[in-house]
Amino acid sequence: MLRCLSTSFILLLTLAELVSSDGLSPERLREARREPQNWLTYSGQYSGWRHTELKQIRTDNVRRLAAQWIFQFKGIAHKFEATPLVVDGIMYFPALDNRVFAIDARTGRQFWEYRRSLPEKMPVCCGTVSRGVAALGDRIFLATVDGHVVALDSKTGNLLWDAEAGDVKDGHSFTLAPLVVNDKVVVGVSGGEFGLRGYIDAYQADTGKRAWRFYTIPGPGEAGHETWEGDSWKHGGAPAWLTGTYDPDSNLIYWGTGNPAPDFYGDEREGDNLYSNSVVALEPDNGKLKWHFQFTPHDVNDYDATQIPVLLDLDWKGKPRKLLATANRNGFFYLLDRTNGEFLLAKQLLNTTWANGIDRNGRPIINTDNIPDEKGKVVCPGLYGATNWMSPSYSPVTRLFYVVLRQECFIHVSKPQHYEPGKSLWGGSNQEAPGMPRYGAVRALDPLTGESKWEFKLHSTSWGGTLSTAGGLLFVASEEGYLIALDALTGEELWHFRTGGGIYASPMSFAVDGRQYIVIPCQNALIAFAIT
Amino acid sequence: MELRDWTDSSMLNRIENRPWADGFTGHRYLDPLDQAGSDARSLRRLLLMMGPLILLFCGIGTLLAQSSGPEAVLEEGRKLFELNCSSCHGRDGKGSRGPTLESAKWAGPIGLESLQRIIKDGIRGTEMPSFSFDGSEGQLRAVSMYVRTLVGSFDKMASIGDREKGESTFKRACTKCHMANGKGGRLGPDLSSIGKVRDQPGLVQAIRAPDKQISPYFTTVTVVTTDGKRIKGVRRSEDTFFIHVMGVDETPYLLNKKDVKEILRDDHSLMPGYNEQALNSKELQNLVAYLMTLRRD
Repeated sequence: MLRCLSTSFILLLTLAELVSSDGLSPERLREARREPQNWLTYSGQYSGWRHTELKQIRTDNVRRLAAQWIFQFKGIAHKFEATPLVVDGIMYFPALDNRVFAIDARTGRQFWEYRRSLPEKMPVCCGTVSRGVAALGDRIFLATVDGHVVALDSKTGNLLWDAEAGDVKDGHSFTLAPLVVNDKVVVGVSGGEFGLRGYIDAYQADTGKRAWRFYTIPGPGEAGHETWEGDSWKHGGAPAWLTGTYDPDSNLIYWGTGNPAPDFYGDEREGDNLYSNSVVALEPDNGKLKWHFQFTPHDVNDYDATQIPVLLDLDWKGKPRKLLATANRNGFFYLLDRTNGEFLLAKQLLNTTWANGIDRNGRPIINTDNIPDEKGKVVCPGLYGATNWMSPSYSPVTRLFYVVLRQECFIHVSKPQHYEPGKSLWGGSNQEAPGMPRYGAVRALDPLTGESKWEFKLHSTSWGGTLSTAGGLLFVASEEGYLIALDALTGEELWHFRTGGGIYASPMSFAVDGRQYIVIPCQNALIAFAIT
Repeated sequence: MELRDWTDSSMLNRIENRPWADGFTGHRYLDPLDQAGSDARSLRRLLLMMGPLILLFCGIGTLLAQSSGPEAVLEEGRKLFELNCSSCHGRDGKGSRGPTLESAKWAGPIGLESLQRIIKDGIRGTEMPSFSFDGSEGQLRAVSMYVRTLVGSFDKMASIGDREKGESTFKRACTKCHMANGKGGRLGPDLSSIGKVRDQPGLVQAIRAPDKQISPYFTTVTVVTTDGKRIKGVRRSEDTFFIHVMGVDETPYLLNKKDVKEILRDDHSLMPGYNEQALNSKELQNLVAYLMTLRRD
């Protein structure tokens, strides 16, 4: 009887949650750690940890993890890169080609689908992918691959507003999950390979009116403009194609920026090319730049710095400090002071042939013998970087930073090329360097030193990210199609599941009805696992 | 740049990193048109049915091309290719982020048309964008013509050897390990379509010096298990947890790496090199002539 009553009570509570009309408030987003049953932003929390406080699934029972439901969308499966959100039992995620789904997180059954047609011709470098949606109130926000930002009703998928944020014909598109900060929806543009001038935009969540735009390349008269030769700034790239993080205490958002264009040809854009390959700290109310740090000045190897800036509050040299940690595509791990951008530490992750190290100011010591030219140079890390957009994790339990690494080298060839609207602007070519070692790895780092604590080797270079859990686990996805559970402390493999499809995504976790799930997208499916 | 990536396995140089791909039909992935789905397949059937016509058109095509200065066209095509295509398909068209373009498929006139269409429209659902160049047909055609030269022409493939004699040599020397049209051994690649995916120099090298280029599906390994067994064969696929080996006795093994002590990798192909003594020039020519007839779809 008691049990029946309590079950009914839980059910009632759940229903109340489902129908609660106040929806998702900015306060709830800020305090996301307090409701680990939900996954409210792309990285789970504003801090970019991709860590769940749920601990029903633990090192001692993970072997009983089994698939509970599979959601599949119809159509050509290409790269399903999304991280779903879960808000009070409902899961929201985009598939490819401007489609958004809302499904029941308990059963995988669909509530609605939003579809938006794609233009006939669309210059996108890397597929019509989308990595996620954002939520606020009773709204779901999608940044579309054809350059718009749209708001959908969370209960029906109905379109509420539609803002054009860039001209798709010239290569402006979006592939990231937007980040809601207070009353604004923040997005960063994709399309650096088409020679656009990158920007980060904020839209009013209620109206869709653009609140501000921060150009990642300063215009005439602005500081940093002098770091571009002649008119090169107009088509200098520096997109901002992955979701940033937010620190409510200092009220700053941190966003990574992409490489300058043309990718491999730098001779006609002499200078540091600010703010390409940087992290920028912006005030969310007005988009004002507080500080920046550039990882790879005057890049000629496509070393985007868009990777997730992970926010940590740890003791640095005996004093509590607000830190920003990031594993960069250029092959180095960095630690910065996130209040002012001060460089604290860099640690080499893999072989870097483009730089001999990082100097005390955080500037790379360029290997001038290995700058791509017309004949081509073997460059490590290669085009896809030592790591890329797949998410890292930070676990407050182990105090370790987890990152997926790619060991591979490419031949980069540099050739003059000039901007033409809507055409790719590589300024050369690339191909995989034959005969070089090629594999993937998950590495656990001490974020305060960058030292490796353990490494789990993957046969293939991976596009799957990590998820750490309070249950002492680290989930990692491999491009081979495995979801793998490791002991977060030791790297020991405890469980794996072969999904049967390629994985280009990072895992996430949620709970509903008191049951914890782990979710991974693969091919055209989402698979939800729980302990049985 | 965000990232490539062709989801399918059309890039040979990526195969070993995609062990879920169908290892048994590896050569299939040499075909970049697999991307384009059923349209491409029906096109291919059409291409086959129209075989004799193609040769005729091919001749006409060549004449037309010559009349408009083929070298200049090809040079223009080469420049456009380097600028627009090479970042994905490699400088030499052998593939990088995108698939290899080396396929006999493009050689005929229908190949040219479909190639132009693909370049112009792109391939939906993949990273292949559309290229309009200057908007005219001229540049589009120039790039397409150039791509066709990456393949080698039909002329090059036409052979002067004796196919029938070649077939008997094949049966004597090759079928222990290779299948053709359903007959033969399982250790080496199925050669039923080899005439479509290799040109003559490629075949000669594969026969005379097989070690020079070994398909990632057929590298030689000896797997030592934790209980002391040694399994020698070709590595058909491998991932983080498993290795799939076709043993020299044609037994397919799927070995959990937990049960594996060591994987010894050998740079030498299991196929012996056939030197002049083993196979004289005439025999080689005949054999290649026969192999070029193997064009199963």
